[in-house]
Amino acid sequence: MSAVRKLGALAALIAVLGATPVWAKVFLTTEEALKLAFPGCTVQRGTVYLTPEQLERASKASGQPPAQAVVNPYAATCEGKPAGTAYFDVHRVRTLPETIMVVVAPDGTVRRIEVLAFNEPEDYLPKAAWYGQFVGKKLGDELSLKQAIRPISGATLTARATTEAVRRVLAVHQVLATPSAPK
Amino acid sequence: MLLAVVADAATVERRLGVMGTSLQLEVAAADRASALEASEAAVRAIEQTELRLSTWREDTELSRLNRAPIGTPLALTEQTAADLKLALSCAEATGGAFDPTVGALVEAWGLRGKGRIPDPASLERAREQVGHARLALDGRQATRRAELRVEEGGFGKGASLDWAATALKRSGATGAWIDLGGQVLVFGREAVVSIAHPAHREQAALELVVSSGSISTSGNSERGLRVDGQPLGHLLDPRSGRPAADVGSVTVLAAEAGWADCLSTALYVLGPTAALAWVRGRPGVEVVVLEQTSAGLRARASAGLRKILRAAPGVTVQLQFDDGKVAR
Repeated sequence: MSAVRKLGALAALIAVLGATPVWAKVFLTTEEALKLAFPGCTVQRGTVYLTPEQLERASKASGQPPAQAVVNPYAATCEGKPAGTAYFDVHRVRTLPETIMVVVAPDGTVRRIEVLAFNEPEDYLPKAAWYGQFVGKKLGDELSLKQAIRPISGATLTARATTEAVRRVLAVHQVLATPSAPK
Repeated sequence: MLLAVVADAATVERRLGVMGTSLQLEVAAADRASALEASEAAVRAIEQTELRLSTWREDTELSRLNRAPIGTPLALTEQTAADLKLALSCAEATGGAFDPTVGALVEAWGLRGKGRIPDPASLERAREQVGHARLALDGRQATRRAELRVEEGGFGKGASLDWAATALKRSGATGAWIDLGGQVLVFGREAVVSIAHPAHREQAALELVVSSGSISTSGNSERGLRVDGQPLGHLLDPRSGRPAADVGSVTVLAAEAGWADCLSTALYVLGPTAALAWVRGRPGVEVVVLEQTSAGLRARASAGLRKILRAAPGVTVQLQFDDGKVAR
């Protein structure tokens, strides 16, 4: 490879990586994560604009400030049956973002949670065993740190940010599953 | 595009929580697409093992076996029969220091919850329900010959890893490193596996450099149960029905993850001296016992680990190998 081509390749690489800090860890793209979670299934990307009333309900259910008004649920159908809905949540850990995918099963429980990208130093990334605590759980009071979810020494900020993200996702999913407020 | 990944990378790294467990894995293959596919095959194999073995669920084969009428054979899948066969072989090989039929004892001590001290009568009843010799396995037919409950806690994780490794290799993975809740499996690449301080799990005390096999550690810092202010060990001695004496931690390296899993429990129960003696003359199995002594950390390891075991950076450990030589 000539020196010019090498420089060109380096410039292209810098351009690709330029969007994220140099220590960022990118595990999977959103497309890859969806394909792995729903192999051989049809995945439909939706775009939903939450009404103020839905935002309020989501906020109340998650116990957090209002979620974003625009939501993109990825609903999967496998062999003609609903297989779950994936959501991607980008949230700040300390000063930098983490991206996770949360797959919600048709019964409203967390089926899978996967880290897609983590921009904080790796010391802030919990061990894999920690993420498994969310699987099989529904939105409720127990889905919080020090209750069903164990805090982690050394990665407290990530634990908090991730738990809040999962609550946010489940709350939005719950709101979308019940379009109008119960009377 | 929010996320970008270099397209032709042949190693995939993932961290995820799936049904009943969570894992961290790195998989190498000819190209990224193959590595991704192989990694998912491993994830699915682990999920399937959970669906067969978990006694936290009512609908698994082991739960059905635990409910099966005494004396009535239950047909298992080939995979579950293989997993149970390994567990029973391990029980036999260790003289019952590991026993997959400790379900009643686990319940008596409340080890799936906050822990409790059973009254003598309850403990005796539970002890009577333990005994791997009373669980018959003939091919795929399993029969409870007496009231007993199989508990997958001491072999399920290892079994999951072995099935994951099989799936990875079938899917074209050339190398992998999987951490399933603390137990590690490696093939086709070199990996440095940290062994935690027996009293402070978050601190690495030792490092093991491996290129193939599985590493499992048993220790009481893992659960940290306390009853009436007193620590309650979650590693039970099936022979006495009581928690095994606290010996720090025991780490086993074995070719098969299932064996590494059950042996780390069994050798912990046997205690350091007997553990080292058990490993002597058994090629393919290595052990390191890590203890906190008044003089500091001490590691006693089988001779086969001499070239691959070292203290973690910045940690002072007295390393003693079973051939009698001492290194620091």
